[in-house]
Amino acid sequence: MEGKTLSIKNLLLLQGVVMIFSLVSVLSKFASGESFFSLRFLLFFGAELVVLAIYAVLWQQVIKRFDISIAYANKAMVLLWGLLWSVVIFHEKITFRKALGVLIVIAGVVILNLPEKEKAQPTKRAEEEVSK
Amino acid sequence: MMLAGSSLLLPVAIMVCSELLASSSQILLKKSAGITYENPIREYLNRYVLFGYGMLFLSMVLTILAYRTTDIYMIVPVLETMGYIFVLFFGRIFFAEPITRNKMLGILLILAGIVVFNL
Repeated sequence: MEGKTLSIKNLLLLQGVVMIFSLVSVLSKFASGESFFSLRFLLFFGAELVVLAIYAVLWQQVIKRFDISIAYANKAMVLLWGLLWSVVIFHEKITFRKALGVLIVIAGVVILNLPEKEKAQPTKRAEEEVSK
Repeated sequence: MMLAGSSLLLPVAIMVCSELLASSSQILLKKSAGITYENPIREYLNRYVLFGYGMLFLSMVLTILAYRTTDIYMIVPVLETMGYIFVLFFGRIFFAEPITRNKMLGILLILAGIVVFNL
């Protein structure tokens, strides 16, 4: 479909939406630390739903601009954000395996988003031009 | 929390269903995104999006269930990567999105990274 052109703006939008999505699990973790249906639980759970709704609205706009297979696989970047939040918010340690895993995922996402090289068709067209 | 023993069959079966639902929901969302609506609200309040998020909700419930059927928690996020492969094929089937070398290599690396992360 329209996935051939690599637009930095669209990629940033996609990554931003993935980052927003990663906040859902942060809020979910906060909510799970509270007793069921306490005020704080409802607050976190409510915030989780709000963030989820914002994500859903933005996601519809993002997938207009990408192949669905590319947009969806980009969600793997929640691994990076999740690791970041676990350190910044929950003060957990980064293990070597986790850092390595995230690096491999980033490499995969970069390759996934690389523009596809033009197939043989342009060359063929060029040859036809020459033969004329 | 655990309902079953250490057999992997149940969590795998549940996760296949969960990811088939999640992937199908993305196809419905993409279907809606390809339609031009006169009223912007209709971009969200239409049968594709509403049904799609219904399926996604069901998928989330199944994923939580999968965690409860195994004590090897790491297999759940690893099995979740099935979704990327399903969407790759569904995108090809429903929207003629090409399955390119970059997409295959990228998803393979993502899968490997998630395995390493959760080991």
